[in-house]
Amino acid sequence: MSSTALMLDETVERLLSRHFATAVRGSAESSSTLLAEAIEAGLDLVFVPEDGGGLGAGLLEGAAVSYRWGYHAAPLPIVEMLLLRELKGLGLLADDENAALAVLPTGLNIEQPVLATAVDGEPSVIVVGYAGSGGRLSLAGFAPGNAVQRRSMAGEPLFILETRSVTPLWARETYLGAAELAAKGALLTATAILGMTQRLLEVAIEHVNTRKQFGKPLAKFQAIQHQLAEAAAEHVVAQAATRSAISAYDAGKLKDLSWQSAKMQAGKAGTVVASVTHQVLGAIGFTEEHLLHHYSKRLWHLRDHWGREVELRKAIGSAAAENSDRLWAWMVD
Amino acid sequence: MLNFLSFPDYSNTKEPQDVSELRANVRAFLEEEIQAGTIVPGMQTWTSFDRGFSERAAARGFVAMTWPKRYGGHERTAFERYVVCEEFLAVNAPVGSHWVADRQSGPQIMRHGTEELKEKLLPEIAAGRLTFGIGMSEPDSGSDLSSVRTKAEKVDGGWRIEGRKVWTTNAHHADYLIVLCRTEPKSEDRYAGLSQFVVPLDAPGVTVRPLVNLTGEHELNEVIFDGNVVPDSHLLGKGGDGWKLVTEELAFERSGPDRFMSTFGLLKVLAASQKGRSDDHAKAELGRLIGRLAAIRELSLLIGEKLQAGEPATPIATIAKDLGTGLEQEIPEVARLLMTEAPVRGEPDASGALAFAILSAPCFSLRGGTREILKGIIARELGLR
Repeated sequence: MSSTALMLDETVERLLSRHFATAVRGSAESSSTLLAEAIEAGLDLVFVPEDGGGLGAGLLEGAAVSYRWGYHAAPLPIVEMLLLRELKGLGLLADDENAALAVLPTGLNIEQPVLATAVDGEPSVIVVGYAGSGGRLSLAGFAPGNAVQRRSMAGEPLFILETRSVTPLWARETYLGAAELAAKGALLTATAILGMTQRLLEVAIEHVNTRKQFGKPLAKFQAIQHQLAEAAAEHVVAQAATRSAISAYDAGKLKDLSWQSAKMQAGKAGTVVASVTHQVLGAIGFTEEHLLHHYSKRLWHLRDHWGREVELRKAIGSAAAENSDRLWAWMVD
Repeated sequence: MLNFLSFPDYSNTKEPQDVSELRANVRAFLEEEIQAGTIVPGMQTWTSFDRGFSERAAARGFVAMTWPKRYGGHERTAFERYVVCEEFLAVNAPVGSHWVADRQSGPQIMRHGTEELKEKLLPEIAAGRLTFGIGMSEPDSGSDLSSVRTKAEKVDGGWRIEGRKVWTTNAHHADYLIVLCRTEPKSEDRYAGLSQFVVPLDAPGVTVRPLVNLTGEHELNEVIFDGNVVPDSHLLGKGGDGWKLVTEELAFERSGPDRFMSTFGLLKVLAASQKGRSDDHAKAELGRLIGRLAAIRELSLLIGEKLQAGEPATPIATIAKDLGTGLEQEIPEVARLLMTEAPVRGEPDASGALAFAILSAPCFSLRGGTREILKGIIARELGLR
């Protein structure tokens, strides 16, 4: 039993319930006050080592925060907030940098633009983490002027960096594993997604039990029941995969297949749950009149964030083909 | 509603049991069987019958693993049993002789059988010497199981059975069937008045008739009961509580790796076909299937934990079976698109494995509860019915 995780979950629940009691969802003001409130509550210190004034907690404790964050579809990019603060706490990033972050489990591929996420307004640097020699995490800092600012589908700023023609301001090798940090971000993201799907399923079930058409609640139609059963099934299988990957991570026994599969399934759960919720809520859900869009837009964004689905699929498929003469042992040992 | 799994799981801080030695032992045994030619990869399933294989597996302690020693069991954990099952399935071992008895009939007798019955049957199952079949479906009773008409009538010292059961796998090899019968006339409560009996198939008055399936094999059967009498000691439970019993039994039936690994043999062939090739699209499709399988396996492992702890597992077992059988059916679909071989019968090669999987696939989402019934159960758990 992790009492720290439970305590964090309750703290975040209180903080976000209080915040959304007055804040207007999606407003710029809500995002900036929320960041101040989160820092005030010390949430950014979860992964910071104890001797650096943090909680020095494991992934499960961080997952408690990102789960509750997702459950409320809160605006701040929680995964970046937790991990940037951790890098600072470990002395791998200067304390006064306001960084936008992107982490690749692989080496830097100049053919592919990097999408970095900032936590607090205009970043002072864009930090790209990638696998250097021996899979160690290398960090490279780029000038924000080299990146193009766009917005995610959820409306939050994203910085797109073409690394082909630019030189970093600085680059450093670290002692962390690149894949390990990528896995951590992927699992925190999967957990946030599953907080969102949990809430959306609650919303959808409440709606179909209340809304009547043709003289009976929508829930009594088998076509509706089966859609929601499918959505719930995707939610549950992704929960199982993510739970197991988190505990393997904390035990120091994480396999690539395990986190890649968990993130992929969470992405699928997010997509199926969003789609079914939109379908059963009808036209209102396609407007900003209902809170659904705060969830569905984030789900669509996060599916390819911290582990692009197609890259995860290819990584698993390549490794499976490579190990096909001992496929089963490769999967389970 | 929606409390299928606790998530995130703040309670689970225990280390998983180290099963590497057990895995090594099972793999060594299976390697011997492969060398001896009793296992034909990709061309068998967990319904394939081979009594000799089951007896040899039992001699190594791979049957009745979790049962008490006094009934011939080995008092291992549910997780250890799970490991052995998945290792068997990963090589398509012919486990059909003991599978149903080990998975559900034995545990059912253990929980609800008379002491006499337990002492007589459990050690024999544990030795791999008995085969059980499932006596639930009837010609007029499939998904609506409470409508069964096979009836058991109280006679002196036992019960006289009359009726027909269908789709019983390996009944022609089986020693016993656990038969769901109506023991009281149907009343307003359609689930009341049902009972389960352990029925020997060598009794006079029992006839087994073959039903050939789509792969051309004789595994399914119709079983006709024409007045055979089973002793009182063969009644499971108190009598009249058959619906509760059958529901419990189905949780065991729906929970295991046999619900997502039926086409694993073909998945291996598919993975091998992509080795050394540089087709990104194909790798991504293969990766999707493998990643899905890994996730469903995690769900299935949690069911094992719940069953071991005596917690209700029906809701997640239902989800695991629905998703697992969907994956089993998708594997041949993807394989058709990515492999160069055409599905052709006759040899145990890639073409043969593909053909075998395609021909076997329709039954995956029927046996053990149809896809529609499963979704209905999930919907009920969600509070929609």
